[in-house]
Amino acid sequence: MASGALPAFRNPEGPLYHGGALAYALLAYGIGIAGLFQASWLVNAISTLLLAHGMTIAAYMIHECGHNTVFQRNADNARLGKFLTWFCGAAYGTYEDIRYKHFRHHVDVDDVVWFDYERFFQEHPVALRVIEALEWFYIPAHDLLMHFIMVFTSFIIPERRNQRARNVAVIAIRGSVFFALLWFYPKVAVLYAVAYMIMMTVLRFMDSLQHDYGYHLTLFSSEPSPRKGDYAFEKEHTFSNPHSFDSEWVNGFTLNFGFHNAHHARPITPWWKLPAVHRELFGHDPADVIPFRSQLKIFHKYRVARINGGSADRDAADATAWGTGFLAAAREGRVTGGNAASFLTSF
Amino acid sequence: MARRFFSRWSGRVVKRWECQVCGFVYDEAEGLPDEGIAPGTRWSDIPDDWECPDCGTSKSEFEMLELVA
Repeated sequence: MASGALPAFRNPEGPLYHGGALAYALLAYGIGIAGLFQASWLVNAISTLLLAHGMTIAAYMIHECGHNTVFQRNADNARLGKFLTWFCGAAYGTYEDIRYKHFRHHVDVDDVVWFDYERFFQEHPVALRVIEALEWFYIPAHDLLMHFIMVFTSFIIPERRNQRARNVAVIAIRGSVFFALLWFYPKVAVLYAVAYMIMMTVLRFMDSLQHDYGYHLTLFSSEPSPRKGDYAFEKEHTFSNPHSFDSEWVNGFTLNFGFHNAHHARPITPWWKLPAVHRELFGHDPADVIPFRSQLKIFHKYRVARINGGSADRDAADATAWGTGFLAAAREGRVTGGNAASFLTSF
Repeated sequence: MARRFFSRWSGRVVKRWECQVCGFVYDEAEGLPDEGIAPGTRWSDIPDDWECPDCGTSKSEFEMLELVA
């Protein structure tokens, strides 16, 4: 900290970009919540979208905090990250666990997980059918399942039993507020849930196509990852999915998270510099990214197939849709993408 | 404070190294006593197989952040 009580930003542009994103997230959250209490359905609809977007920006700011791009002192980044987990329903587990899993993703070049959802669906076919039916209606049921596990993390994940007191306290606080809303203001509770699912949908929309490798159940394992530090593999199997390659400002909607190759190449780059890093490292060719039209087509067409779409490395299943082949297939809307890859779910 | 004191006391240029994955900073003046690295340990004296205590990436993923004279 330079002086005084306020933490210093890491970058000179930080007050403008990080400060602006933070202010927007908190204002959108507050105004959005207030708008849900209004009588007008039009105000309710706009407020639901505003709330959802405020939560989305809060989620991406947690990602920024995780990479310590916001403040000079890493302890300040951690404090802000922990604070923001309350705004996007990610406070049930710990911020440290979110970071741990995320950095295993970067360093091990893998999706390192505990929960084997493919096996879960094989053992629970009724649950799979219910989730498939809900996903057909665009309800993010697969990620709601992940969120359910996150809410009860210390009761479900043996390695997180030591977090039970904290977990119960967060459940009690958030649960009592939500059920009080449900009792006294049911419309507000329902619209909050809708906003939360919109946030989930935006996050999974972005995550879905950014890597073509599956998950491995090594989150709590000490065995070394076979791909650890293999940055050539990482580059080949990471993909960018901006909302627009030409009109860069549009990508601010998700804090440039679509420039994922740039993020993986230089993970401590703050969000507003990612488009420039992409152009510096990967050039100006729009053929190197997945167009938004293809992203929408995949999101719609494979919303049910995607439930098991990201669970296995595709080199065994379809050698043509792997690495550069995946990019070509994704550009044509011929891959399913994957679910349940949010950095907010730390297992 | 520790950096200035160490720099003046030792007459050495003290360097800081930043992990390019997670933003962790290794400060030569402060070392990492919890990891068994004493204050004043130069970056070049840290073993090549050392990993970032925050994210586990290799030493080669660090870059010099600034010089503190």
